[in-house]
Amino acid sequence: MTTATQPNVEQLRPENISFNTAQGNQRLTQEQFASLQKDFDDLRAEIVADLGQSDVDYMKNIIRVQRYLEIAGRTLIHFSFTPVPFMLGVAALSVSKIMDNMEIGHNVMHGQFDWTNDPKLHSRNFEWDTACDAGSWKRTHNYEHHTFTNIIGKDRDYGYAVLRLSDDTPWHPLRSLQMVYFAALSIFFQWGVALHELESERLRDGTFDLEEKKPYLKGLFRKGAKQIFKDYIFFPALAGPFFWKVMLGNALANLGRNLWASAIIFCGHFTEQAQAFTEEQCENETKGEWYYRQLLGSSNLEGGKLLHIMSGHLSYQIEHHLFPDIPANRYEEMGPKVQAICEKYGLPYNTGPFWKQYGTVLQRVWKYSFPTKAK
Amino acid sequence: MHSTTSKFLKQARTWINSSLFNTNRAGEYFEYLLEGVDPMWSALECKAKVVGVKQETADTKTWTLQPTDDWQGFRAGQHIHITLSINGVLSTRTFTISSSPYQWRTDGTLSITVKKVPNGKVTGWMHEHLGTNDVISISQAAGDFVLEQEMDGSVGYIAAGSGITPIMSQLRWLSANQMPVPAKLLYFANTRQDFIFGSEILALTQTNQRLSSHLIASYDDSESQHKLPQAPICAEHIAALLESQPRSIYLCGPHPFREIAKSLLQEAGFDLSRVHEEAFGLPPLKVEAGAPVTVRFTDSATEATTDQPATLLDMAENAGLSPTAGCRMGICYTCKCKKKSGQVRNVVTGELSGNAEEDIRICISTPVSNVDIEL
Repeated sequence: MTTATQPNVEQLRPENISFNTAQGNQRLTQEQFASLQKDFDDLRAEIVADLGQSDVDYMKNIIRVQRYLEIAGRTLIHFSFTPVPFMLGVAALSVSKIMDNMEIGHNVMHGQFDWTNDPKLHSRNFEWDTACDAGSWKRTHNYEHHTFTNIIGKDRDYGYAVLRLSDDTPWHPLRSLQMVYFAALSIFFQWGVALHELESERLRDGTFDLEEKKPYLKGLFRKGAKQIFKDYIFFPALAGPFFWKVMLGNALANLGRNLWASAIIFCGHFTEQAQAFTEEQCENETKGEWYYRQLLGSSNLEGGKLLHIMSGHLSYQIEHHLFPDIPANRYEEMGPKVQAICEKYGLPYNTGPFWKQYGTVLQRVWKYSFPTKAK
Repeated sequence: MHSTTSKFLKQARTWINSSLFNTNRAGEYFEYLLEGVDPMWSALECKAKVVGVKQETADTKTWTLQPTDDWQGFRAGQHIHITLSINGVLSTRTFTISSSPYQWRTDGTLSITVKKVPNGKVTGWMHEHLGTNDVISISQAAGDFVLEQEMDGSVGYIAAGSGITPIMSQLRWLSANQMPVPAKLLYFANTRQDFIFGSEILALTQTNQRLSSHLIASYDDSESQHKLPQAPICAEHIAALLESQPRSIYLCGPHPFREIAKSLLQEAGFDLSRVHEEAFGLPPLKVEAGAPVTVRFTDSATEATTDQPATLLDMAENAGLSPTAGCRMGICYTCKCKKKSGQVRNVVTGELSGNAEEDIRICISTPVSNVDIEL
């Protein structure tokens, strides 16, 4: 007689609670929530039953392409003496870092390939090419963000504690500069992600002190030092007199990755349509209501195969949030089925082209730099 | 002084690998690239190509494998772990080598002989799909079920069913070396059709005067329930074996069979310290009625409570986790995890652990108290 429990899944009691959504018109009855839960659970089971060799082959091929691009990129940066091959090298290295972080690292660390029993594809062992160490990422992203998605005050990814994105966060004069914070966060995104677990806002208000963050800080310095060593000491030093050229190339490649990764990630939850929730709304949430919150809090990007791969399939942010541990290469076939379920319950399926979605993110950051006028 | 330097160098190499390749072993970075070029290439493990498949009995086949040059050979009676991909899922199993080291020295091949286990995922797949030119991963050979270096006096063998395989390796090797010592074999199987290598054993017995064998079937054939008079192992069999005054006895077969054989040997006055055993699988788990225990899988925020604990590996899998695991019998250490607190019992040796933090193999550990494990 073994019972397994997971937070926010089985433990939750199905009590009749209602959601006050931004639109206010998508409230489902308790029966509908139960039926929604079954529909999503069935879709999940259907895909899980079908996982196999083709999924492993897909990921191995992606990893091969990433490796070839990284080797090509570093070689070109090292041996180039004119701007064109140099910039080609920067582009190849940047793309390889994007693939490593988004399509490989993010997905593997969600445990999407744990079922393969391959230690090289297992979430426990995986480490990626960015400043944030895998352990810290799994704590802040897999647990905090994916469990408490878009709950103000609990999901620290909602605005990353530096952006005000809804009326739930009180306005402050320093908020008027948040377009600047937004730009800085985009440029130094890998360090922003790495520093996320420091919870500086909670250090300031005295929720805890620095002493408690010591193990995390140790991990941060260890991983940060390795990234600096690789991109700004080791490979530049290999080039001898061309030290600064290689250093610049690596910095540009990191910058490209930072801008792209941050843009994709902001589009996932900060678009105009993506909804936020309060803690009270989510108390005693059932699995069906959890699905509902994931659905309403996420937004997709429309585009071709390349966009999907380069975004780590976060262009299917809705599918990813409903099923974070299903291999991302399956989201494309799940999309229409998720959309059909949304239609069945009259729920919105928030999607749009990249520039349009990113535009609404910028508008939102701009809009909430100002105090909200009393209604 | 020297050891401090080498320890430092090792640490430095690990640090550099982890900063350049995001993994402590540089080989992991290149593994899929190599595999993509040639499935026999690997930076991490030995690969082997299937060069022949032979049906031995209705449910037993022999696969002949050609390993890569980095495979270091074996002593007769040793086993290997083989890892193969079954629809994308890597599975590791342990098999004894049935061929003679002489064969490996002459043509560089080894053989494993595998009985299809009813409902066995891996052996079932092997029997159906593993064919010539397929590539699998193999470990170096290991195991103590080997002939002593300084042999004096005769050797006794007791085998049941597929337990003949490591013994066959030794018989073939002894025969190829003109029987340096006399040997006597007792071999038990369900029916006459179930004797693996039956005709080869008889042929060896005829050509080698110093080898004698006694093949004992329990039933007429698989259809009939008619038990033959010489039914399973009994005191007369042991008495006949001990007539040859063996210096040591090699015993291989299922757990209950070995227990009976050992008690008969003890009753006949044979010193059990001179019995070599090769175990197949885990001994049956002793369930002790007691208070329910809770196992917390800390990294996955999952827990399982039960009053009939299985192995931690089974419990984790039943709770929906996919920990990496290999042989599932405590040999390969693939499933090694850190236990943070609590007491476990080693199901192979029966030993109890301490309560402190330590690494354990979850496939052979069952909780005795509440346990926290980093998984």
